[in-house]
Formats: sequence, C-alpha cells, structure tokens
Amino acid sequence: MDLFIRYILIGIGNGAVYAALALALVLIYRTTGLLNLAQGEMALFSAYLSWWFTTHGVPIGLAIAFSILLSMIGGAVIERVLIRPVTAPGKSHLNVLIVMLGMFLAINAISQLLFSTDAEPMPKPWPSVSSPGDPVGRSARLLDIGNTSISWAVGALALTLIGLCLFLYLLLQKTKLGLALRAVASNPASARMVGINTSAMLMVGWALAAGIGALAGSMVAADRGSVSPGLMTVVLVYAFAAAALGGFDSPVGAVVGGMIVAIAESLTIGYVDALSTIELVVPFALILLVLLVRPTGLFGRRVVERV
Amino acid sequence: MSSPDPAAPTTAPPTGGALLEVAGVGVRFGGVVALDGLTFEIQRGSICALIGPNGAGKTTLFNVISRLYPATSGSVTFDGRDLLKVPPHGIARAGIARTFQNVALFPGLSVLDNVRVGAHTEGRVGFVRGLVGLGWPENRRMAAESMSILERLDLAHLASRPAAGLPFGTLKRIELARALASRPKLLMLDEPANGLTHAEVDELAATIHRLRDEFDLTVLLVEHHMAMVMAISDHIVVLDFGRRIAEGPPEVVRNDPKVIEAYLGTADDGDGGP
Amino acid sequence: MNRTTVRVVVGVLVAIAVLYAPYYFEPVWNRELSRAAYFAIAAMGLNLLTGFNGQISIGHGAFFGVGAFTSAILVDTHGWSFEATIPAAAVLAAVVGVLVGIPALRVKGLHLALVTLGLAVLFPRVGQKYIDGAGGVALVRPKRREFDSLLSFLADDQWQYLETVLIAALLFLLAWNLVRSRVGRAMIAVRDQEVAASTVGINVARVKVGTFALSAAYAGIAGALSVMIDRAADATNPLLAFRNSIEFLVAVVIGGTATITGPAVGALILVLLRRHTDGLIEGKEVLSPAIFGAALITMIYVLPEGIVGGLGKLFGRLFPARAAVPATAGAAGPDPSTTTTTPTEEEP
Repeated sequence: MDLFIRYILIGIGNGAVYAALALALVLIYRTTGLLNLAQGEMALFSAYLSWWFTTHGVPIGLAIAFSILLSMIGGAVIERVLIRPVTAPGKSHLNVLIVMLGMFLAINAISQLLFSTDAEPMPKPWPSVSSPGDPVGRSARLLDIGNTSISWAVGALALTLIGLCLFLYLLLQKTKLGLALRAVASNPASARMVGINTSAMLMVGWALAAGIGALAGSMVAADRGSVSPGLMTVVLVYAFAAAALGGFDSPVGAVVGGMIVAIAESLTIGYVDALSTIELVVPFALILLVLLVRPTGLFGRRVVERV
Repeated sequence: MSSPDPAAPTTAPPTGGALLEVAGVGVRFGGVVALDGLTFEIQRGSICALIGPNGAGKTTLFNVISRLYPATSGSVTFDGRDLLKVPPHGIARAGIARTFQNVALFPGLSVLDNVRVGAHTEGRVGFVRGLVGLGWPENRRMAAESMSILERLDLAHLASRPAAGLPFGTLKRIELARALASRPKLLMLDEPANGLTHAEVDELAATIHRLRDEFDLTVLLVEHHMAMVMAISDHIVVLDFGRRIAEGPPEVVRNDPKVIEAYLGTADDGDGGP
Repeated sequence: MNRTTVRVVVGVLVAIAVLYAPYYFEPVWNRELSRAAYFAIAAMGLNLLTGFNGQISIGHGAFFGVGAFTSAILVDTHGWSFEATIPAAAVLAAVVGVLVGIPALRVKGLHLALVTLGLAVLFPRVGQKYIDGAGGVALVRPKRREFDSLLSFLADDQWQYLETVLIAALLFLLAWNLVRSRVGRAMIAVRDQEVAASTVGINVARVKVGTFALSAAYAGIAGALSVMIDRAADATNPLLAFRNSIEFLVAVVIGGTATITGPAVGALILVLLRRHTDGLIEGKEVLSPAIFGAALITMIYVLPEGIVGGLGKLFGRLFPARAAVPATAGAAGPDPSTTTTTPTEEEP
C-alpha cells in the first residue's frame, strides 16, 4: 500500500508539471489554434534563465519570477515576429509547422550557446536537505502518511499548479483582459469588430503561455535538481499527451489529463516491468489513441464547420 | 424594386412527374429542430424556389438533399430512388449538382480544372491509370467538354487562370459551370443572387432560364431576392421555423397572408421581419 | 524565347548535368548525390500527400524505414537480388500506408501531424518487438557485392548513382502524370474544399487513403534505395525515423509544396546543408542545429512557396504565358497570388 501511495505521489508531482505545460499548450491553442511544438524548448530557455539568475546571486524564488517576466516578453515577441507572418485563417498549417520546427532547434541551440551545454545544478524554491557531494540537495519531508512521506517537492508542485489554475481562472473569467482573450479565441473577426485589439491579444496569449512554460520549466529543473539541454523534450511529449487527453481547448482537461498521464505512467513503470525500458511509448500511444478514437478528448468541445 | 423581365420561358409548365419528393423530413441538432415534417415535390423541368426568413431551414434542407446532413426522420426520393441511402459523394452520380452560398471553388486549380473536376463522375481514370499516363486522352476529352461549358457561360477567356482573386459574380458563374459539368438532372443553387448587382441579377435570371432549357434541367434554388424569385419560379415553397407554411405558383404565394406574416410580422408585432 | 523553349532548354541542360555527374565526381560525392536522389523520391511521395492532398505527415520516416528494412532483409537473409526487392518494399510500405491512412481520416491539420509523429516514433519500437520475436537482427548490413555494378564500364558508385537517379526520374514522371490526371485534380480538390469535393462526386475517403498509400510507397522505394547507397538498414533507431520524417517535410516545404520539381530541389539542398552544417564551427557543434533552425525560418519568410514556387512566380513575370505553367502551387491554401494553371497540352 505504501508503494502505491508513493507511486501516486510521484504521479501527482509529475502531473503538476505536465499539467502546467499542457495549460500553456491549451492557451496557445485556444487563442491561435496552433499546437506549439516549441513550447518545451521555450520552457527550457526559461529554466536556464532562472538558473543564470541564481548564478548571479539572485535567490531562486526571485530568479524564477524574473525569468517568468522576461519569458512573457519573449513569448509576445515570438508571436509577433515569428508566428504571425506565417499564420492566417484558412491557410495550411505547413509553414507554421516548419517555423515551429526551426524554433525548436534554434531555441534549444541558443539556450546551449547562451547558458550552458552541461547539466547545471538548480536550487529548489522549497525546503531541502543537502549533504556533502549533493549541494543542491533533496527535497525535505513535508508530511508523513503511514510509512511514506510526502516530500516538499510534490507539495510545492501541487500548490504551484493550484495557484496557477486559480490565477488563470481569475484572469480569464473575472477580468476585462480575460474576456478579451476569450473573445479573440472564440471569434477573432467579431472580436476585432467590437474594438478588441486582436493583435495585442494574440501576443498576450503567447506571453501568458510562455510565462506558464517558464514556471513549469523552472519547477521541473528544481525538482530534478539540474537544468540540462534535454530537460524538456520528454516533458513536452507528456504535456501533449495530457492536452490531447483533456481536449486541446480545455484548461480543465489539461489539468485532469496531466494527472492521469502522470499517474498512469508512474503506476505502469512501477508495476509493469516490461514497459519500464520503453520510453515515451505510453504518452505517444495515448496521443494516438485519443486523437483517433475521440479527437476532442475528455473535455474538449466539438467544432462543427458551417458549409 | 424593378422586376427582372427575362425572355419569356420557351417551355410550357413542366410535365413528367416529380423528380424530387421530400416527405416528412425532419432534422434535429441536439435540442434544436431545424426541419419539422417537411413535405413537398419538385416537378421535372420546373424551377422551384425555397424561400423563408433567415433560420427557416432552407440551407438545412439543401444540405439534407446533398447528403451533407443526415435527416432524423422522413424520406427523400430522387428520380425514383431513396436518396437518404446515398453517401455524400454519390449525389453527383445520381444526378444532383449544387452551388454553395459562399462559393466553394478550388483555388488551387485553374478555372478549367475546376470545371473538369465538376465532371469527375464522367471520368474513369484512377490512381493506377493516372500514374502510368493513361489519363491523357480522357484529360483532353474532359477539357474540350469543360471548355464548351465555359464558353456558354462566357468564361472561356479565364480558363487557365486560378479560380481565385476574381470578382465575386464571376466566381459564382464558374461554380455554376462546375455544377453543370456533371450533367445533372437537378441543379441546386444556394442563394445565387447573393452579392450580385442589379444588372447581374437580371443576367442571372436569364441565364437560369436558358440553362434550364439548354441542359434540360430541373432547378431548385434558395433565394432571398424576391423579385427574381417571383419572376422566374414555376413553383415556390415557403418555409418558416422548419415547416412549410405555403406553397404554389408565385401569384398565389405572393398574396398568401401567412407568408407576409412570416416575413413582416402581423400588424400588432412591434418588431418587423428580416 | 517563349516558356516552352526555356523549359526544354533548362530540362536538357539539367539532364546532361545529371547524367554526366558520375564521371566527373569522386565516389564520395556520387554517394551524396545518390542520397539526394533517394531523398527526393521520399520527398516527392510526401509532397503528393501533404502538398497536393493537404494531409500533413511528420511520419514518413516510418514508411522509409519499412522499405529499407524489407529490402535489407530480403537481400541479406533471403538472397533476393536487390532490384527485385524494390517493388516488395513499395508494396509493403503501401500496405502500412493504408493502415495509417484509414484512421488518419478522422483527424486534420496539426492534429494529423501529431498522430503521424507518434507513429514515426512508435514504429521503431514496434519493429523492435517484431524483430526480437522473430529472433532477427535490428541492424542489417548487406554485403557490398550485392550491389555491384552490372555494367563493366561503370564503377560501383557510378552504377548505383545512375540506378537511383533513373528510378527517381521515372517516379517523378509518374507523379507528374498523376497530378495532371483526373485523380490528381481530385486530390487537390479534396485539399482545398473537402465538402465541395464530395459534392462533385469525389470519394474523399478513397482519395485520401489512396494518396497515403501511394506516398508511403514512394517513401518505401526511397528506403530500399537507401540500403544500396548506405548499405545499412536500422529498424530500431527511433531518432532516425524521427529525423528523416522532419527532413522529408522540410525538403518538401523548402523546395515548394505542390510542385513537381520542388521535392528534388529541396532534397538536394537538404543533403548539402546536412553535410555542410555538421561540424561547421570547431568547438561549437551545437551551432549547427541553431543555424539549421534559423535557416528554416528565414527560408519560409523569404520564399513562403518554397524555391520552385518562388521561382515559378519570377518565371511567370519574365515569360508571361498565354498558355500555362504546369505547376500547381498553393498548398498554403486560398491564396490568389500563387500561379495555378493548367498545362498547355490540354487546351484545345
């Protein structure tokens, strides 16, 4: 039983990360209709950025905050400069796809060029216990359940996710900005006609997604203890699986999907030996299954085209 | 509003029985009833117009006949066969062709090719024959036939241009040419006068008549341009809220109080119609 | 100096250059050019599916792998002559293409891209399970002599180059035939307006699955040829299928979607780019993906219709046609600025 709880807890911790990145994916999908393949690498850049701040004496919490801010600016710029010129309603997604592939490669490489090609230690924004030879340390215990314990990592990640959801909910449902964003996501032409600056809203959407990605990336790095070039590639696949499962246009789905994918992964790896060596089969198979059997996922809405 | 005065129809009112029989057709989308027990017939060789306020279900019916929407109840018989059993790509072979409200041409093909695609069911070359090059003779034949249709619609000079970036009225004529390419028995026009100038509407009315005679067609149109409808239709069916509220030749329908009410509301209504 | 004359002259010059190349170049270069040739075949296949038929696939590396592995196994373990394995590779790849194409009917656009990507990644794992089960070897390396030149005056590398290039030329010709035919028009119609396409009588599902199968067959043939050139087929390297898938797509887009010569141009550029950006700057190996990525993005801005598409427009302005340009560009969607016209042959 303790083992089971442990797997669940690991799942929750990972799930929070997948869900956060999936939220970023959903945000961009809702506002621009695109699946951003470069989201993971953008998050990687942000994680490296957080690390960079810490090497200059900034405490980790503040470092992450700065990184989020700068990433948001970066996200807006990317939308305006790279994405906007190749997207238009009705145009094929091919050119955008190539641009995103280019971004995927370039952002990863630029991260390595600007920051580091190695794995760099990442401090934790929550209590940790260090030991000689392990300067970054492992997460401290938060709570005890039976014979196992919940580590601060899981607690912090879960809390972060909750906070993120709350923030997004308040922003999107309770503010004018959120209303404008939702309007543009739903019908850009009409939104423009009622005076909403559609261009700005698209940039805001990408900025928010980049900020969320920055948070997710930094948390992943903190949890793992280091930032490395390959940090987010795998996470992105899981995030896509989460978003697909939940329905690409559903924030609730992203969170639920993230949890399901992570817990399923954790239990599978824990209990089924044969699958433990096959990386990425679970998320990709899930993506295939969802998209082919029920493309709208668990919570997505069907869009019917008018003839 | 001046009435278009096309050349007087050269054929007498149609004989030959019903080409299309719509019987008790109902369509529901979730809780919304788009069509409710709709019944009417179209006689061979006639020009039949479907009119009604916005949201009355006209395009829905069009889409049911062209098999883009399923009917939740009722039957549609075309030329003696059960149309509701035919898949969407089967209606062309059955003898039905249609145009779309917002002009659904293929911008990646030239004008000539758009018309040639319209004649898809007249061809036989598939992947294998296409690959090895056995499709060329058929190509030439189809090109000749398509060009003759374009000539009849005064579009031959545009044959090699892409079917995009042209004036709206021209695009509609191209779509008409494409519809004619499949040698249909029933030609369905979805708001053909939409977006046309006065002169173009007159021309359209004359064209529809001419094509009906030259190609031996039956025509069903959805239309809001009342003057044109009244002028060219042999038969009018009026819909409101998914039901048929009136039917008959133009003179009868024009004076039917239910029709007037549907469009304009009664004297007591504060709000007017469309 | 009208269009047709220019076309013919350019065509002849290119043909001469292509045929003379193996005598002029060192074996190492012949190998690169051969690579470009089979790459072009795969790109052409993908172009049929994505450019002409509008179904985005980032999974063609899997079909390529099927073809490669089939050919390698047949030559190595079952003693087939290499040339005979090419049709087998094509057929097998086509079958897999159908198996993918049918479920693919349910998804569109970027979702389809995601599904095909998943297939490209999963396929090697499935392949691994199959091979392990059959007690086979994942990496097959047929012996050199299987691919020896059959003509005494041609060295091995020259022979292989010519075989590859001639097969490529044939496949391109077939594709050109197809695109100009009734089915080709149906493919494009389905891409542009699926609903209207079904209204004019096109069986959309059949066209989509058929195109998938055909494009997979092309990729399979390319895979088979790669066995001759690279003398190896690795079924289980997931990175390979993934990388190939992406590169095929890039070649299609850079060359020019929905054009006939585009895939060849794109393939050539890609193979050359690969060779040149690997290890471009000492000590900064990570720079090459950065340059590659930046180059991709730049290309899309400067030439959104790819090289052939862009050149086609320039050509159209230098040599205005009374008749037409046989290049149906416009996979980018309803864009009236692209030149799309019918070939001269058909106009009465």
